Amino acid sequence: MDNKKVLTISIVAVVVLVIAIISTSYATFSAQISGEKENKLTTGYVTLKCDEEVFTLNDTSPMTDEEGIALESNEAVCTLSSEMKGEMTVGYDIALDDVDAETPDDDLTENDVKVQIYKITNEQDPAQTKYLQGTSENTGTYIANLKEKSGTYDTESVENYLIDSDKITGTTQVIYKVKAWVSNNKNGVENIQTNSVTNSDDGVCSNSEYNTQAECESAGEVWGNSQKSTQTGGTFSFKLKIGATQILEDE
Amino acid sequence: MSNKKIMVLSVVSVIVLVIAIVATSYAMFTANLSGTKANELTTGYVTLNCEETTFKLEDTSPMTDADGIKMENNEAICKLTSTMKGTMTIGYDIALDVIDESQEDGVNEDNVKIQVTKSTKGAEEQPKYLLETDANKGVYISSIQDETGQYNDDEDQGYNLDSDTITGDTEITYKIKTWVSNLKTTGADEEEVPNINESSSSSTCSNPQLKTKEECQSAGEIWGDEQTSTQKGGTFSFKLKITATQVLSDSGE
Amino acid sequence: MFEEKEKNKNRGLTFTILGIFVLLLTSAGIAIAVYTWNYTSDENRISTGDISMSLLESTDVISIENALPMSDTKGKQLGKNESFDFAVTTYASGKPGDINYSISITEDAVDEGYTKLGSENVKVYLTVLPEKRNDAYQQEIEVVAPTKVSEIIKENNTGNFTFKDEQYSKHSHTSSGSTITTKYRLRMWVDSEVDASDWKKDSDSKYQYKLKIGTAGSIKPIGVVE
Repeated sequence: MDNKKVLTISIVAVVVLVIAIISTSYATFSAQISGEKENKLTTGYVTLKCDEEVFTLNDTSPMTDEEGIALESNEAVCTLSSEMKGEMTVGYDIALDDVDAETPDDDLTENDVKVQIYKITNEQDPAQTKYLQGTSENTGTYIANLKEKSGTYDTESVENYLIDSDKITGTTQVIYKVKAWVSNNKNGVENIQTNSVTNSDDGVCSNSEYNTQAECESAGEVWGNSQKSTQTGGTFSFKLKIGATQILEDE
Repeated sequence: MSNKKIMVLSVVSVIVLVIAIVATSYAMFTANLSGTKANELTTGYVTLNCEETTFKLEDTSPMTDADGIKMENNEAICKLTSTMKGTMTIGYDIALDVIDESQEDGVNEDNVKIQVTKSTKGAEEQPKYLLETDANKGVYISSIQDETGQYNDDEDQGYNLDSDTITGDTEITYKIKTWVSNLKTTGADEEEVPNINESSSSSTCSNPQLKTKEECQSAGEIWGDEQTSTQKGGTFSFKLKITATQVLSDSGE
Repeated sequence: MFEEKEKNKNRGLTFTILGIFVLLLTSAGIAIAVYTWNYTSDENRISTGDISMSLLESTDVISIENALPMSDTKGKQLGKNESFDFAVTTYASGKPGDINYSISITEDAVDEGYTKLGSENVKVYLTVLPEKRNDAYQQEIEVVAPTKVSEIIKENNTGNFTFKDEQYSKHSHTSSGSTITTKYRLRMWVDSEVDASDWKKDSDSKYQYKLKIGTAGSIKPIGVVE
């Protein structure tokens, strides 16, 4: 009895299988035509680059906006240029990056450093120069004031210290300049300068290479006690960062 | 010359005479009865009759054996009856008389399949599948091209479906289901689809009435190059042919 | 003389026997009657119609230079020079019913000096053109929404479009001698999600994508379960 059932089931299974095969492999008419025409697309490209000029300014002193703006060699420049084959609108955010990242614990912070930011879209026409983030021809802004400003197009990588957001299409060029100086005010408060006097009683050589009086004097240097007055300074650094992304027309 | 010899000679001449008579009889009864329904020829002792059903199937499609067998109105039937007075054995061949008038078209004996059954009234095993056919399977007509019968003299006849003998009153029904199959299996898992032709032509319009590119495109049609794949149809016909003859030799009985 | 007599006697005997046999056989002949019967039936006829399928491809093919990622909205609006028209025509002399067909894409090898753009970066969009047009571009009917080629071509180099509505991949031949044509328009573009930032001017990063279309039609036998 059981064997019979099994047999019936297996026969049914085989029949189903056979029908399934027929239905997939059988057609009363079948034709297959492969087209001959070739359709193709070839990609274009978009290149964005920032030709930058950096500055390293040593031994600068706190100064007023006017002095800072008049100063030379304190300008970070990014010549942002785009080259495109094809059509695309790119939105970008330019920001300060790694702000005071190297020496965050020293006495020079984003509350002491001011910047003047502007972009030049046409070098021949100074009227098109645009001052950004509340700065003007004569005034700067503390870097700390930029801290909360995030990007418009690349919100992921530009979270703060935004300088500008804009769109570009085609082949074009924009120059960004950031002038920086140490302000003589500390973000609205009088700049605090630490003066200290250190005495060395042990005697030192006028050439610090020599550590004993004999060496010092035989080298024609002066051995004696010295007094030093220090204004505690510091180092402040930043980079420029650009985040760009395609803007879809219908968005 | 001895009496024995004379006797032998006489017997021989008698045999010759018998043969002559037989030949004459044969000629007398060779009647051509093509194309008439319910033909009867009564010898006074034997009546053979084929009660036939024919089919005309237009615009069918190629199909599987399963569908061909399931189909209706695709069956040629011959109900062969014999009525006899006295004992006689008749041998007969039943064959297809292939009349494919349009040899050039797409339907021919290479893609027409048949399933042949034979049912004898009163017999136990019913129906009996003939040739290589069975309940689910047909054969291409071309595959029986060389099947010859036992009771006809035409060596070229071929397409024989069955050869048998009858004695007494009988009723045998032959059914020939016919369908067009496009799957000719030439080997295991090997399929061949005949009658598909591909052709390419020079540039043409998607509306064939428009002959120039300008006319075509301004009418919102497509101007381009066309490839066509065609499955050519056609017609295939056959008749059933029965040749019956008395079996004189009773050696087998 | 005797011999001659003997001969006559023999001859007489022969004829007698022969006569008897003939008589016997004649009567027997009537009784046994060598019987033959030939019969030929009426004609049985089976016929099928002609069926054909054509693919007409426009001489104006897609040839897009400097493609950059594009939104679906913009891609769907690509104009005549950036789209490819083709037509599928079926003809049946009889009434075979529905001819179902599919439209497929095949990738093609790229030109020398280019790298093949991945099929996941390219979108295609298929519409049906109106039978007659006043402004064909206004009246297109979307049959395959913008789809990445990689979602069509999966394992091999050919893949079938999935039609939104099967009426656009079916020709119903319900009257004898009918010809049915459906016109299609194909568009392709680089998907908006593609990161094109490494596409450069130099040849190492010049990408290309090529495709051809194809069609396959069939009539399923009636009564066979899908």
